[in-house]
Amino acid sequence: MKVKLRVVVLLALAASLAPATDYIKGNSFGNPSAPVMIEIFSDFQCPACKLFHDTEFPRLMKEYVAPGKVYVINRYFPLEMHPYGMKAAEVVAAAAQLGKYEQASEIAFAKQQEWGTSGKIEETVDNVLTSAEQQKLKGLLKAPAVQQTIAHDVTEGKAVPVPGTPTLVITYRLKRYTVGGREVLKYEWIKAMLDDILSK
Amino acid sequence: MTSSRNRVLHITTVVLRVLVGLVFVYAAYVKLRDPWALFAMSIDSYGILPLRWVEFVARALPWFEMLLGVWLISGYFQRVATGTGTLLILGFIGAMAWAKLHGKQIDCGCFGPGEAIGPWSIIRDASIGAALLFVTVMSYWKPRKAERAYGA
Repeated sequence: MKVKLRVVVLLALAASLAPATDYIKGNSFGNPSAPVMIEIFSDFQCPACKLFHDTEFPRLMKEYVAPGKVYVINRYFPLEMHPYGMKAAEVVAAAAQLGKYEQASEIAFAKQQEWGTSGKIEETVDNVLTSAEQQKLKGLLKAPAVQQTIAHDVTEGKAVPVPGTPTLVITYRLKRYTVGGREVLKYEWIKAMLDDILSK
Repeated sequence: MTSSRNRVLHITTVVLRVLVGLVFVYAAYVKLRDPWALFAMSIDSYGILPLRWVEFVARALPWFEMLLGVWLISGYFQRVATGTGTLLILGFIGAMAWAKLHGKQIDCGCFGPGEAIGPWSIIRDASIGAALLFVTVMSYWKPRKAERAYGA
């Protein structure tokens, strides 16, 4: 009886740590069965997130995601201090519904400084969409699928709690480690940490 | 009266020494159960140590804290143990104060990640430092001859 109870508790815990697939649309990379899962909570208007996206993320993808060691989910976590952060999340999440998450997030970070002052994030992302997709995007911005995805990710982030962006939540064998937000997020330390936990 | 005062001081010293020792052991345990790179990130965030030293400190300091904690609890060579602990805590407090003065909003790293440097962490470490300083002073203090003669 005690063994059964332990099994049930462990399964429930594992289920709570597994990503909710309903809220993932193009914003995940790699093999979902990889031993390590990394949830990256970021804000498209956050300069540190742009730096992480431009410098650390490609290395993470090449060295850990591509070989199947890590499964990455990019979580939407717009900060209140960024006036266009939420709008950017909506636009990218809407583009994700059209299968254009990568292109939208790429251009959002690339042109961050421009739309960060003008607020023209939708016009920025339109550059990677066809005319038909641009029309669909307008209709999707306030769609439940988009709003609920962002709300879900924000709720998840607050539950951690995410101290700032970018923050990585690394899950390995039911153990969760929160990295970043306040600490220096250098790839060398992320790499050292992943190598350490993967060696166990 | 005098002998009971000495007894109270002695008991207080022992209790404080053991408690501080346990705090060090716990702090070490929390760091050692997680990947060392987590602690390295906290250390690196202070921006005090050169990069080549960060890994060394991240790997070695928790073990040093563990040994120091056990050493304090054991009661052997109290002057050296408590003096070392006091210096260590003063170093931690100095680093936190330095970070605060430079406007860094970073984790303390004292008991693993997730605790920002703030009034609570500084007061807590200062209290540990005060306790250690007291124990260090007491380890050098000897009751007067008369008190010892009368079994103080």
